[in-house]
Amino acid sequence: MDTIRFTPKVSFDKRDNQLRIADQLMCLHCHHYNAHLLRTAEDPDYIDGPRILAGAAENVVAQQLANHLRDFPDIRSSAQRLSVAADMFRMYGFVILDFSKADEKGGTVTSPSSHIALGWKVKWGPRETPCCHFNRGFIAGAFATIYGKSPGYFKVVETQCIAVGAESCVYKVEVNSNGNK
Amino acid sequence: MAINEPAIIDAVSSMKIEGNEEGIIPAFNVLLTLMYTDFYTRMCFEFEREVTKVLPEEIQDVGKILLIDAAVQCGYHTFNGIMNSVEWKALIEPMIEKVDDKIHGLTAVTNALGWGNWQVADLVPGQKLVLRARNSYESENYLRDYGRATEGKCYMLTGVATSFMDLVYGKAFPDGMNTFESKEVKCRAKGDPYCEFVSVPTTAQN
Ligand SMILES: [Zn+2]
Ligand SMILES: [Zn+2]
Repeated sequence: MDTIRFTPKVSFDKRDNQLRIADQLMCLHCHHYNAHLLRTAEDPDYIDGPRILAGAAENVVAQQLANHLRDFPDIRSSAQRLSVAADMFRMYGFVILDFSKADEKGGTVTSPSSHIALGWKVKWGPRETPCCHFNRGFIAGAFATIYGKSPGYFKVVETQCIAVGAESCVYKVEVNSNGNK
Repeated sequence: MAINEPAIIDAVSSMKIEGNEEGIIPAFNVLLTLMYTDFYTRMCFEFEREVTKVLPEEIQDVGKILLIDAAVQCGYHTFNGIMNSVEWKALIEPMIEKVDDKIHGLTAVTNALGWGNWQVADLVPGQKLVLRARNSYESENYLRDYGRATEGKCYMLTGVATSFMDLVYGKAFPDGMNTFESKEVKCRAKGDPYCEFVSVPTTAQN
């Protein structure tokens, strides 16, 4: 199937210096900030930092993709919508996601390269556990919107990560057994 | 002052900053992302809440300190990259007449990043910087999601203010980090009309 590009409504307000994409305020930050926030959130072992990172991403991605699909009602099939979500990931600089082996029942999503993993490696070298919690949230949020579910419906686990030395980041997507459907 | 801020904001905000076919945004010597302000604020404020729930009262500030430190680290490396980038050399360096202009140049660049509108309110070279933000995303999102705060909530901008002073007046990179420290003395999230950040040499606040 041909790639369906993510072509959102974009505006920059020069009075408020605010960038709006598909009705979400967006901003530019680089791998230094993203990597430091990741490390900050993961560091205290008395809280679940990865859950906070993935949860924050899931909700906002689900919302923005829903806004975009509302603005472009011709993007109807799940395949088209997955293509748009992958292109959104690319456009934002999170790098590449391949959704071809997953559907509403779950499956495997592969990322041949990942901003989060690259940023970590550039700053601190390889690590022992997967770190792309943001990407897990992105996938869960995109799937929720594409298949008409609420955030929390899909569970995404990163089984291999570039920051750990794998060739790609690999995410296992499942329907969450806790419900929230 | 030689810095033409509207021209810088115009130029930077109209650059096509988005992922290439590989999904990478290489600009200003860093790997950029277009990120949701809601992601940052939900992540940071949830992190702070969870940390605060667990820690004893006397170290309740740890979450906030860690988040400000992440922003200092970020700002110091990012803006060093920016000041050595081809974009800076082409666009901003020709406007710089004296070292203090770099503070205005950095402020102008950040005004094009979607962080809201902030301005230099006062600059005593090498001694003190006062920045005022009219609509930081941290304060706006905090008010929307959690209601009125009792203290400043703009941890990212607090850290970035420090990094501006460190880079312009501290020892040469990479030895100048935390030469300055910053406090957010006013914040929209606690009901002030704007957020205000004051940066002074680290020893001066102790
Ligand atoms: Zn990864
Ligand atoms: Zn504030």
